[in-house]
Amino acid sequence: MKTGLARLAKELLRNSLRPVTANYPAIPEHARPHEPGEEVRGRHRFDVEKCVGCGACQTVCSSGAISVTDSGIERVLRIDLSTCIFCGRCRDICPEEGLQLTPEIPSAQPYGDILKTFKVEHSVDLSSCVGCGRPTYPKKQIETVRMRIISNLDKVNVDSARRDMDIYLKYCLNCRRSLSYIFGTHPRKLY
Amino acid sequence: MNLIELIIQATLLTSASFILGTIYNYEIRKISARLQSRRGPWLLVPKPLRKSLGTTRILQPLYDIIKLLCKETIIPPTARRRLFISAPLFALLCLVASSTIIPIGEYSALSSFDLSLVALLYLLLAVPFTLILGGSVSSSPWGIFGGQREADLMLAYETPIVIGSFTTAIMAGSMSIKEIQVAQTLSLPYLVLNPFAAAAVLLGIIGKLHLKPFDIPEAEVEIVAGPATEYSGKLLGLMEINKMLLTSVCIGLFINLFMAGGAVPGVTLNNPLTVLTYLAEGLIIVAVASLIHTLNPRFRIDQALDWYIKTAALLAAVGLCWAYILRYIYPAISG
Amino acid sequence: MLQNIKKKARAYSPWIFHAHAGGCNNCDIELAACFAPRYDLERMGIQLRNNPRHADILIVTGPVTKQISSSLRRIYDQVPNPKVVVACGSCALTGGVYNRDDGKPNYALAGPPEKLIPIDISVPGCPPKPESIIDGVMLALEILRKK
Repeated sequence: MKTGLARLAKELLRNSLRPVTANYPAIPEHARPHEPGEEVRGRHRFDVEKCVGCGACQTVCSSGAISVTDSGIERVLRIDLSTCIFCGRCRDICPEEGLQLTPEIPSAQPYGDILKTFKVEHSVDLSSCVGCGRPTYPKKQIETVRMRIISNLDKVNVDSARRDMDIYLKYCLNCRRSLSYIFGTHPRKLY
Repeated sequence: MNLIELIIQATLLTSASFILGTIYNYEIRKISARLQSRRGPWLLVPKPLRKSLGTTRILQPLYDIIKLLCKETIIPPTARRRLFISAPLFALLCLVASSTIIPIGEYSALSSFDLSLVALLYLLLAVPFTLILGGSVSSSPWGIFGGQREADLMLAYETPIVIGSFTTAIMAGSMSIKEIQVAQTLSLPYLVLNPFAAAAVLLGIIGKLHLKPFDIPEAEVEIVAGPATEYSGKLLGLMEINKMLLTSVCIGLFINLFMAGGAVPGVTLNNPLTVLTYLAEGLIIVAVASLIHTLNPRFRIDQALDWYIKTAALLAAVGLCWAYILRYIYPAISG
Repeated sequence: MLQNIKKKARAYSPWIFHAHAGGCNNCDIELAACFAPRYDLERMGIQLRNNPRHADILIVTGPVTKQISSSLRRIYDQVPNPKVVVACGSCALTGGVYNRDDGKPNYALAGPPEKLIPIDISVPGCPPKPESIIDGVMLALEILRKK
């Protein structure tokens, strides 16, 4: 096809007979004929087994969409999808891989229902301090921390660490500080 | 024909012109879209959406007009109200009158009186004036710019149309559109006999309908909407109706003056099938015009004037001389 | 019967005006992609106009900066009734990434658009995918049919 006019005619004919338009509202799958890649960042999903409720996701959220609210003995992690910018920092920092971003894209809604549908929630149980009764940390977080320390310490220190953790992990931070000499769990006892 | 028949035929011709204009504008949008490798307004809506979006969108410009006529009209308080409202109304009157002068096939309400060509060109000349007027009284700088550009462009595109049309009158020996149409059935269509005049009138029509190299008054990115900037609701609906009628009248003018008004070998003028051939010829011409519309960017106003004088007016002058030469070479064919 | 024709015509040919009220422009690019060949809104007879007086649907993108807040109110008043307002993207819903961590207001914003104009439909995402925008526009057609 030497001449420009012949090439133009060929391209116009190809454009008219094969439009690339996706048949979107009619057939929803037609918009994405290939599998969406795993890197597509959509609605969040908390893994019920793995998430410990530590709140690390809230500290790195770029837009402040994640809120961690303690009420009573329950901690609720709420992600507001109308503020989220789907950057994925929360997923990257989660130490337990408990937060995943699925390829499901939230779709349009009438404005009144905005907070009811554009959010993802997860709740964990908090453990209460044996001494003062205030809620401390999530139960799963305490358990995970305990297991991880025991499995990573070297043989010399693991026994004493295990004995100390059995005592002080049941107390809140204030009670631990004021009672550590009595319990004998203060770190200076080793010197 | 007596007065009652005349009135009925005139009404039918106007409504038919309006529907034809709707179909032509739909075709412009559809062909532009297809050449850009996308689908335009649906000819057949896909099945899952038929309940909510209708079965076909071939009358899409008509839906636009009905929607606009049912909307609230906002008139800027600093505009001159009477002129603002009466500009599109006056254009509507001129276009309704001119649509009764264009014959469709054998049905010709008012096209058979003497000098109907002159009356038609006169009425069509009034339409850009109403655009200029409507833009200028809008109390908006975009309207004034649009009006200025329309005035400049009008000087450019009216010349080839008028000279080309009078060339056909010279070749047929009469100023009545019906006579010109009938004279072509006795000899060849004037598209073949005098292609220069045909080309000149077609290029003039592309400017008159504000199709792409010449959609300068309605330039979207430069001036917001040109003369139509402050119009909204019912008045904008009137301007859209004017656009439909103008499309149909201009294309009808071309078909009747140059393509024997729908008479092809095998379908004489007394046959009702001429309506179908008229429609087919109209669709072909609109296809050519929309091809030019899709493939071209917008000219500047000085480039447009330059181009019209150097190309289209020159072609019209050559066509005029050729018509006189034809009289001497083939006196049997051309009147 | 005439009411039916009116409602049908309103749903069959909505014209869109896009009001850009600040922000990073990503939502505007996705909205322009909706009129590109791949997701073609012209199939439904929708045109993207640049004049609010010609529009039915007003799409607002971006958190409203202080400079544009008065213009946004004027644009909303210039759209003739019946109209539908669609807020597109996280910034238009709650301010998006421009919120401060400590909850104080941002120095440059005049708040999300819902403080200035009433909004009918929300499209989440940052930026919203063209499929979500098309869903939002289809919902807007339903609202226009009822008005």
